[in-house]
Amino acid sequence: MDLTFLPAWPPAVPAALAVAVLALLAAAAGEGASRLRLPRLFGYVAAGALFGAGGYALRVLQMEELPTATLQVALEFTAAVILFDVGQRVSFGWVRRNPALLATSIAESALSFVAVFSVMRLFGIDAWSCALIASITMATSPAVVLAVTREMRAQGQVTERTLLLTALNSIYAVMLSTLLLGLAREQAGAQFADLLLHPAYLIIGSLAVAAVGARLFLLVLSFIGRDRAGQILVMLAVVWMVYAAAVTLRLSPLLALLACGAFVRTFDTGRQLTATEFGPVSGIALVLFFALSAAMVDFENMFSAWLPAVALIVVRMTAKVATVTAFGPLTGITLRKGLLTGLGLLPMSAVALMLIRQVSEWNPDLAQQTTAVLLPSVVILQLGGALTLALALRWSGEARTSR
Amino acid sequence: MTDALLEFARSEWLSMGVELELQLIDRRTGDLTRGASDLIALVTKQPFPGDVKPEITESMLEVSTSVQQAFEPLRGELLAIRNALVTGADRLDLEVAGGGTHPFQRWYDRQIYDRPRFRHVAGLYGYLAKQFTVFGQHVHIGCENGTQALWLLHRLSAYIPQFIALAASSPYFQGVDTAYDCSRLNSVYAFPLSGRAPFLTDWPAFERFFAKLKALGVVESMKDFYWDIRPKPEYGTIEVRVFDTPLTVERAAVLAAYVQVICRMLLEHPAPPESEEIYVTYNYNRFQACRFGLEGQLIDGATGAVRAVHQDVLATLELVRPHARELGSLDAIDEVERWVRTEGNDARWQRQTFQRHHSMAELVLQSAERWRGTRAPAPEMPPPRRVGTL
Repeated sequence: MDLTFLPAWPPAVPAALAVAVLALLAAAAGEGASRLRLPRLFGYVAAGALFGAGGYALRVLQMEELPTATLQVALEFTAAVILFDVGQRVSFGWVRRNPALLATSIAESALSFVAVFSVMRLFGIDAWSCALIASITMATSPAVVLAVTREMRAQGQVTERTLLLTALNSIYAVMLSTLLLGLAREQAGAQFADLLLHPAYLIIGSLAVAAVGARLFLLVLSFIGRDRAGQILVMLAVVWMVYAAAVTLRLSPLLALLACGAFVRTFDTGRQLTATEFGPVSGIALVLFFALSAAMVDFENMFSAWLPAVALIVVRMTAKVATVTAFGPLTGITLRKGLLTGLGLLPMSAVALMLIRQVSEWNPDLAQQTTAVLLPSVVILQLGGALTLALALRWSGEARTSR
Repeated sequence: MTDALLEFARSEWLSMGVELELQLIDRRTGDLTRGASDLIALVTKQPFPGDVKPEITESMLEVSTSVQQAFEPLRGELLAIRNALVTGADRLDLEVAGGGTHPFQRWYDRQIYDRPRFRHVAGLYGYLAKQFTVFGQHVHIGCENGTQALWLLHRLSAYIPQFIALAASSPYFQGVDTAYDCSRLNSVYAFPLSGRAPFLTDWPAFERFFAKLKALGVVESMKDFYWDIRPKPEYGTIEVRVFDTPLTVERAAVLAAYVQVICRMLLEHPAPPESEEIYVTYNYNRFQACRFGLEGQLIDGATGAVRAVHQDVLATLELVRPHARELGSLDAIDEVERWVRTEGNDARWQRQTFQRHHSMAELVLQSAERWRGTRAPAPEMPPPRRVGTL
């Protein structure tokens, strides 16, 4: 009997199916978390972790390999959409009208850097790793902040300031970690020209790609007009082009996408953005981002450096909350709302790990040491930070009232 | 408040004050946003010209002037209030805007401001309270006693269509062109105690009316009446409430001065005793003004004569001119004439702006620019059709 029309056994599973299964799990788990009155991202992360554990089991049983490459591409694309969206929250106009906000931003990032660096040194970690850890942990997670403020439909000063400060400290973190990368190369015996040239290429090149992307986006958008599907397509296309250009030119995709969002807002003098609504798209990107990043966490590394990680969390929190609280009245809000904004800045996410990945391409050793400390901090602060942010939004009265 | 309660405070004759309900706008999206308590806290750190209070939702703000006698100082105070608000709003990345409605806000997104009275109103009226996110200007005119106030209230009702049409700035509501110049009053009309005040002409009768409704549990205080004009005994004023909040404070000042000068004319020329007959065409005329603005057709209940609102305004302007000279508000009168002959009301500007950009968000943000005084360039539209006719 000829049975060749039947699939081979066991059937070959296409990679895309893994993403589909994960998406389904995440959507259901998100609703589950919501019914437990937790932010939905708890559900997305849980689904991702479950999926990751399943993949691990399959690997151990030598049955199936997770399509890691496909998952990685999907993860980076969702991160790209999120970074572009958060970049749009940078209002240079607001910073100009209220310069104390820029001072707040620089102060909280600087203090967070100094505090984390000093404490990491106490644990005997080498100075380069400390500096790298400190620069990356300056950043608040754009993904968590976007997800929680969207889900709670929050509006108001704490919300807007958290978003602005998040976008700004993410930009600093990318820039500083890029610079440190250059310096670390010099330590490894590279030429002086290298030390300046490489970071300069990374930063200027990424900003240039961002600017071109932003111009292109607005140009096509003005031609598209009010067609909703067209607008979304243009957004996705430009995000992908900026990402691809940054990767191809060996620039920083993270910086390019954040800056592209910010430039779009700045260049948009005709206010074309007000007529667009990308909410649903970044909503989908957020679900996949949390699920995928949790699925790909390598838990073997999880507990090797938990003590420095806990110390990191404590000093980072203290530095950020204290600074933003103290600067509150200078920026036109009360100490209380300053405190709540500070609590909103605690989340960290896999975006930090992606920064490390960027570093590891050039300096694998450095990446190895920093990941051991960063991984547990990120896992804790992704969920813990989401909770403090959700509480801050509720206490400030900026979250939508329950139905 | 006790039951005896409605003692009418004596005010200086023809003194005036203005209250404006304002919108707080998100600079990025043009939508209404929460921020009233933050903005109030910020602007009251320095002495605030006039007064600023929260309103029923966090995206709404109420400012009021002190008691003024004349147009110019009133305008000056309103400009100072505007500047203080704009300075504060800039630091919070908010925009402040006038307009009787927000063109596309969704009422179920609104957050009720946390004060006992507002919570009571929200509980009682349900979705109406949130849909009531509309923005009006109230003009107070001082009276010497309650009976004079009631007499003035009823005489002034003949001018309500003019007031509605001149101030109309709510053509868009919940994302659609309502076809009305003033859609805001339709929202107000949904409340049980709206429309015109009952025809009572002396203060003791009014007190008995109020006591009766209170005993029946229908009202608790004067605030439960949403009438077009209502007496405000504790201030010693009557309060005209049919104005949409204009897009600029300059317009708000002109409208107040126009009410003041009409009141002076009415008080200087006591007419024969009135009867409830004056209200025969009231609701019809009010509808015409809301729907068609200055083009609305008014029917005189006594004579049956029909004329357009803009003709009615121009006729009134001629009669009040001597009084405006006395009160020092000729500039305001000229301004009203300019609106009627060339510029039109704010609803017209709103429709023209929307037709130019096809974006309600853009309309809101340009309204906010107008409010700040950095005027958006006048839309290039066909010249106004109407030349004043008398």
